[in-house]
Amino acid sequence: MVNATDIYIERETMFHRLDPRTKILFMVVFSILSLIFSDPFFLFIILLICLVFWFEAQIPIRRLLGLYKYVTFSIVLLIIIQGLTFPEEGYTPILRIIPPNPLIGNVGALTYEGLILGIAMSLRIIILMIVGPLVIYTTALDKLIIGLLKLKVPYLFAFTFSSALNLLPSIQNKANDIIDAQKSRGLADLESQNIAKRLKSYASLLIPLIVSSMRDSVFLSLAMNSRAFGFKKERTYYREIKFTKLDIVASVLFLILFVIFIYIRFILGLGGLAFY
Amino acid sequence: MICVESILRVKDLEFRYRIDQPKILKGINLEIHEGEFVGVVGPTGGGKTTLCLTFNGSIPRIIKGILKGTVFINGFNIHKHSIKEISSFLGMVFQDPNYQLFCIDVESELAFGPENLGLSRDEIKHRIEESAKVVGISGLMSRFPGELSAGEKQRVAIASVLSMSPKVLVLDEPTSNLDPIGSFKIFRIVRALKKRKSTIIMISHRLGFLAEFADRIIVIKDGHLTFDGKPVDIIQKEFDDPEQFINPPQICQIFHELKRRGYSFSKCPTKFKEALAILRKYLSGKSLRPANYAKIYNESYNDLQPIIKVRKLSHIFNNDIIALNNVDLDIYPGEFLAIIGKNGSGKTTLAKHLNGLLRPSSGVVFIKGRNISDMPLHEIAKEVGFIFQNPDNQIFESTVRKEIEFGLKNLGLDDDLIRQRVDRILKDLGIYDLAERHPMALSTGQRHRVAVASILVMDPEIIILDEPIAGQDYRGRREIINIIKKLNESGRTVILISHDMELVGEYAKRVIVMNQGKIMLDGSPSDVFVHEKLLSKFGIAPPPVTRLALRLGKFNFPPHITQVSEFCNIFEKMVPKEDL
Repeated sequence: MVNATDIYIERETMFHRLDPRTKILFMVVFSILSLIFSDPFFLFIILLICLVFWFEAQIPIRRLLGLYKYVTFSIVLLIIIQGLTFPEEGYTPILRIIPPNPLIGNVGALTYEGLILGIAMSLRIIILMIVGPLVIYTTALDKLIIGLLKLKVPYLFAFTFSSALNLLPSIQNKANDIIDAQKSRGLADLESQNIAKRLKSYASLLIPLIVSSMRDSVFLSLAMNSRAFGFKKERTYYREIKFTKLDIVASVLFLILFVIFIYIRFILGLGGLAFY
Repeated sequence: MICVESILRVKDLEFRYRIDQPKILKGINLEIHEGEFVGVVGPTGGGKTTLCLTFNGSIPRIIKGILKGTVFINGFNIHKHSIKEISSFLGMVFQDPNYQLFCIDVESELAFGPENLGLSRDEIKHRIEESAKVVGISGLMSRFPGELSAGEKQRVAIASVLSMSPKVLVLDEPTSNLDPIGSFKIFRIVRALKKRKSTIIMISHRLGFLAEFADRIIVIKDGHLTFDGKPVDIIQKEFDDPEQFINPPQICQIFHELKRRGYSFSKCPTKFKEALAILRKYLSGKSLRPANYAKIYNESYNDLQPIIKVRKLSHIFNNDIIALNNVDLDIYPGEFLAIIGKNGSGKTTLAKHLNGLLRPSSGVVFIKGRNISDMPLHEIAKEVGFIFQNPDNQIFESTVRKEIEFGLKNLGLDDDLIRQRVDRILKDLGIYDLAERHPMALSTGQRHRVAVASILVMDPEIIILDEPIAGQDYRGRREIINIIKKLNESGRTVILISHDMELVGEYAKRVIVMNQGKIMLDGSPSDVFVHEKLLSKFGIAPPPVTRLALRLGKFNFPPHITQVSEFCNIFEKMVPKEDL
C-alpha cells in the first residue's frame, strides 16, 4: 500500500517549525550551490552543512540510508563510468583496465580526473537527495501545499498533487485485485521466473486499469464540481501558515550562506575543476 | 406536510448521449417539495443516476448529451445556471467514496466546498465542526482520506457536502460499497437529516430502509417514471405484479406469505415496529410448547473427509496487523458455507488462503488431503474457483470468449475441448450471443455473468464467492443466487462471503462469524443468528425475520428462525386462520 502520509515525520524541532516557504528557500539555495560547485572539497562542505540541518530536524539516519539503498548502485556506477571515460592523453591515468581499441577509442583507463568528477557528481546527487526529502519529511503535506500556493504555484497544480495521492491507493488496490483474479484463473506467468512473460502479463493489466480509471475520473469531476470547485476566483484558504521571527533568522542565514558561496565560486573563482 | 413549496420541478425531461442513440430518459415529470425524503428505485441501467445528475446540471454540462425539457431547482433553471452556482444549495454524494475525496486530510476535505464558496474563515470553521458532528467523524479530522475505511470515507464525503449547507441532498447508492455497520451509520445520518427537515433524494436498492423512512418512492424504469407514491403501495404493487427489480423488505414478505396462506390483515406493515405490534396482537394469549422447534446443527458430515482442512492458520501482514489468528476449520464436500463479519474481520484473508492467493504466516491448509503450501497457484486453481466482487477487476481480455478461455488455456487444455467447454458455459449462463463482444462494453449484469462464467468454465469442485451480489439490483442478485444454488445442488462446495444476512439466512447451510481474525461462531444460520447481542459486538444484525422471532419469545415463539417460510409455518401452528 502507498502510504502518503507516512512521509511526514513529526518532531518538535526548529526546522519543523519553519514556514514551508523558508524550507523551500533552503532547498533552492542548497540545490543551486550543489550545481555550481564541481570541486568535491567544496561539495563536501556543502554536504556537511546540509547534514547539520538533517540532524537538527532529528530525522533518523535510517531514513537517509533507506533512500540511498536505491541510488548506491547508480552512484558506484557513475564513479566507475566517469573514471573510465576520460581519454588518457592530457590526464593522469591510474590504471589501464581496457586496452586501447578502435571500437571505443582511447578510453578505458581509470584516470584521476575521471574519478574526481565521478565523486563530485555523486556528491551532488547526495546533496539533492538530502535537501528535497528533508523538506518533505519535516512539513505536513497540507502545509506544504499551502506553502506552494502562497508562492503562487497554480492552485490546480497543488490540487492535482493531493488528489493523485488520494487516488493512488485505490488504483493500486484495483491492480492487486486484477492480479489476484488472473492468478485465480491459473495464470502462472505472474510467478514465472521468465521476465519477458512476467512483463507481458503485467502489461495486460494496463487496459482494464486505464478503462476503469477513465470511468472513475468522470466521478471525480462530478464530485469536484458539485462542491463548487472554481466557483469564485477568490477562494478562501481556511488554513494559514505564518512567517515568524525564526523564519526571518533562518532565511537570512540561508541567504548569507548563499552569498558567501557565490562569492567563493565566482569572485574568488574557487570550487571548480580545472579540467572540466 | 406543512411546507408545500416545490423545490425541484422536472418537466418533460428527455436525455440521450447522441442523436443516433436510444433515449435514456423518456419524458419524466416530477415535483419534489421542500423537506420531503424521496427514495428512488429501479433496475440497474434504468436511468436513476442519469435523472439525478440533471438536478445540478452535471448532465449535460459534464456528461455531454442532448437534454430536452426543463429542470428547476430552488427556482434555478439548470440550463441558465452553472453547476457551481447550483452546488451552493444542492449537494451530491455518489456510490464510490474513493472518487469523492481528493484533499490531504479530512478537515481540508470539509473545508473545500465552503472555501470555494469564498466564505469567511470563522464561518468555515463553524461549518466544519457542525457537519463533522452530524456524521460522527470529529475524531478523524487530521487523517488522510485515502487511508480511511470505506464507511468512514463515505461519511466524510457526506460531511464534505453538508458543510456547504445544502437545501437538497442527493445520495446515489451511498451504501452499496459498505459493510452492514458502515451502511447502518449512513442510514442513521440520513434519518437525522430528515429530522432536520432537509430535502433528501436517495437512490438505493435497500427498500427495507426506504420503506421505514422515506415519505415517497419513485420508480425509474427504462427511462420512464413508472411509479410515484407511498412505500407501502410500491411494495404491494411488486407483490401483485412482480417486476423483479425491487426486493420487498423481509417484513413485507412475511405478511405477504401469510396472506397467501389464507390469513387476512387489515393493514400490511412496512416498518419493523409496526410488524412486531401486529404480530404481538395476534399472538397474545397463544403459546407454543417450548423447545420443540430448536434445530441443532448436526448434519452428519462427520463420516466424510473434509474437502478443506485449515489448521492453526495465522496471517500477519507487513504492517504487523494480525489478519488471521490461529484459525482451525473443516469444510465438508457439498457444504454451503457463509462467512460473515464486518470489514477487516479476516473473511477475505481467510478465503484467499483457500486458493493460495495468500500464503500462511504459520499453519497449514489442506485441500482434498493435500497440503497446498508448496502447490503453485495454477495447480490449486483446478480445484478452487474464486469469484470476486467487482466484475471489472476480473475482466481483462478483448472478447467475452477470450475472457472465458483464459483459465482453460492456462490449464493447457487442447483447443477443441476448450471450445466445447466455453460454448457450454456461455449457453448455461445465457450469454452465448455475446461471445464476440468486448466485455467492457456489456451491462453490469452481463459483465457479472462473464466473470462468473470465466471461473465456472474451469469446473472447480470448490467455489468461493466474495460478495458476489453487493451493489446489484434485485434481478441481478436473483440471477447470481440461482447460479450459486444450482452449483451447490450439483454437489459443489460453496463458500460465500456476504454482508447480506437475509441471503445467508435463506440459503446457507452453515455460517461462520469472524471477528479480529478469529472464528467466533460456527453453526447453522439459526444457531448463529439467535445470538443477537453477541453478534452486535461483531457488527452483525440478524435478518429481520430472526429479530422478529426473538422478540416474540414470551409467546414461546421459537427463535431459531432464519427463513420467511419457517416463520410462517410457526405462525400457522400458533394462530388458527379463523382467528383473523
